[in-house]
Order: sequence, then structure tokens, then C-alpha cells
Amino acid sequence: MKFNLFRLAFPVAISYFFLSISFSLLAKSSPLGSVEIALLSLWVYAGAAQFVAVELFKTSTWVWEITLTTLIINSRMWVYSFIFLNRIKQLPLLKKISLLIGITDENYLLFSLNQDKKLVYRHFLAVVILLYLAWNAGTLVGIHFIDELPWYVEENIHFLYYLLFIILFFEAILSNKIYFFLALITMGFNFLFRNFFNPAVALVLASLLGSLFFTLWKEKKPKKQSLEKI
Amino acid sequence: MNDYLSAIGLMAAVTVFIRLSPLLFSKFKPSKFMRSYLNSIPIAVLTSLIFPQVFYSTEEISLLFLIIFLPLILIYFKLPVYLNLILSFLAIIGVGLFL
Repeated sequence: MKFNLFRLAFPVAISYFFLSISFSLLAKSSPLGSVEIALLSLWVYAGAAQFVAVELFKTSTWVWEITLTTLIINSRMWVYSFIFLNRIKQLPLLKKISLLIGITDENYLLFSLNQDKKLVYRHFLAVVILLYLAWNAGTLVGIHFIDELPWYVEENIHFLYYLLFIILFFEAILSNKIYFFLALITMGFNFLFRNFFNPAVALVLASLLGSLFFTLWKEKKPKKQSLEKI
Repeated sequence: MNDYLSAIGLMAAVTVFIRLSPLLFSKFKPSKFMRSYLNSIPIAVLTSLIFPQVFYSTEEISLLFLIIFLPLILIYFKLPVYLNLILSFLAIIGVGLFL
């Protein structure tokens, strides 16, 4: 089914919507006004960096510190863009820009986990726009209506985000069990690196190293089998 | 106000630069090994994103088990992603009310 990706993007949009409500909730406890909170989502549109920025605004951190932190936290997006670019290299420059400018953890994963599907530019663009709108709609709802949410939803809203990732993760692992090994290596690296680096740097390092070890192991495996056959 | 706006503007500029700068390397053609390596990165990123966050998200062990295993059980029953997400979230709210 060609539009499978778009259908798969709806749950992500739902969790984006609720996660950005919880972002607004956090941002309202900072010195930022409604306009600045909305602009953070409209201009920056980078979940983790927005959450961290709000914490930094609370402690009146210097502008350059906030910028540098954003650079470190969002550096993983460079890897995403670089990899995704390889898949859309036949597109004209403007179309490439329209997709890359909206790349996030989630849509990158959606695009990557659906590599076997025949997808065209408008499907990618639809997903990018849908998620961007969901994030910004959630921010606006959070700014204006957060007080009307029941406390038990407000308290647990952030779990939606984790649940989404857990579901995507298990679906990917179950579709190809060899990836379980990759997940184990990466998890080990991640817990190790978190002792030495901040979580965003640990994420990038663990993902790059975990993938490298896994690829080396995978590349050696068929060679062994063919030697046994000989 | 102006300080906040300039900080947000700089954050946006840095983020756009990070997202678009790989375009400078668009002529680069990866080898077979490199392609295989790049293909495995999404799962690695997904693992790095979820597990530390989930483990540090709650101190309630029962809630932690629910977050990890309920979606897995629902996947076993071949529920669509959105239904899995909604049912798991409702279960967490339900359990959260009793904790």
C-alpha cells in the first residue's frame, strides 16, 4: 500500500500533539510569554532542544550557552539529514530542502523503517507537514487550554511519547530479529556513555558505534558461512 | 523579551543549519559497507532514544513494566499502531490513578 507511511504517521502526530501540550505546560512555568513559546515551536521545531531551552531560560542562562546547547542536542539531526539525503538524492534542490528542514527523530525513523515501500516526494512532504502542524497545534492548545485538562491526563501525558517509540521499536525488531543484537549493543554503549557525556552526545556516539559494531559483525557473518560451505 | 527572541532566533538558525548542511555533501557516494552501516543507524537511534528515557521516566516498577510490555503484547495481537498507542496510554492512566 503506497500511503502506508502516512497512516503510520498519524499515531506519531497524536503523540506529537500531546507531547507539545506537555512542552507548553513546562514552558508556562518559565519566564517565556505565550508568543515566545509559540515561536519556539514554529521556528525551532526540535522537541528535545525546546524542553532543554525552557529549563535554561528558567535559570537565565546566556544566549550563547542556549545556542551552543541547541547545537549539541540537535547535532544528531545532521546524521539523520545526511542519511536521508542519500535516499532523496534524485530530487531537485528545493524539494530536498523542503524535506530536510522538517527532519526530526520521528519522521526520520518513519522514513527509515519504511525503506522497502515505494514512496514519492508528496508522501514524505505530507508526513513532514502533518507532524509540524501536530506539534504546533499541540503547543497552541497547551498555551491556551492546559488548565482544562484533567490532572491524571496532564500528569501522564509524557508517557505517550515513550509508548510511541516502544511500539515503533518492537515493530522494527520483530520485522527483522537480527536487529535485536544491534539494540543490545547500542543500549550497552548508551548506558556507558551517559556516565561521561550529556544524553544527546551519548545518543549520537552510542548509535554510531553500535551500528558500526553491528555492521562489522553482519558483514563478517556471510563470509564465515560461505567458508563453511567450501 | 528581546533577549528571549534573539535566543530563539539563534536556536532556529543553528537548527536549520544542522538540518541543511549535509546538502554540501550530496555528491558523496557511499560504499556497500557504508550503506549497510547507514541503514542500521535508525534502529540504533531508536534504541538510544527510548530505553534511557523510559528507565528514568518513572520510579514505579509496575508502571515501567506496563510501558514496556503492554505495547509488545498488543503488537502480538496485531493491533494497529494508533490503537496500540491509545490502549496502552489508557492503561497507564488507569494504573496511575491507583498508584
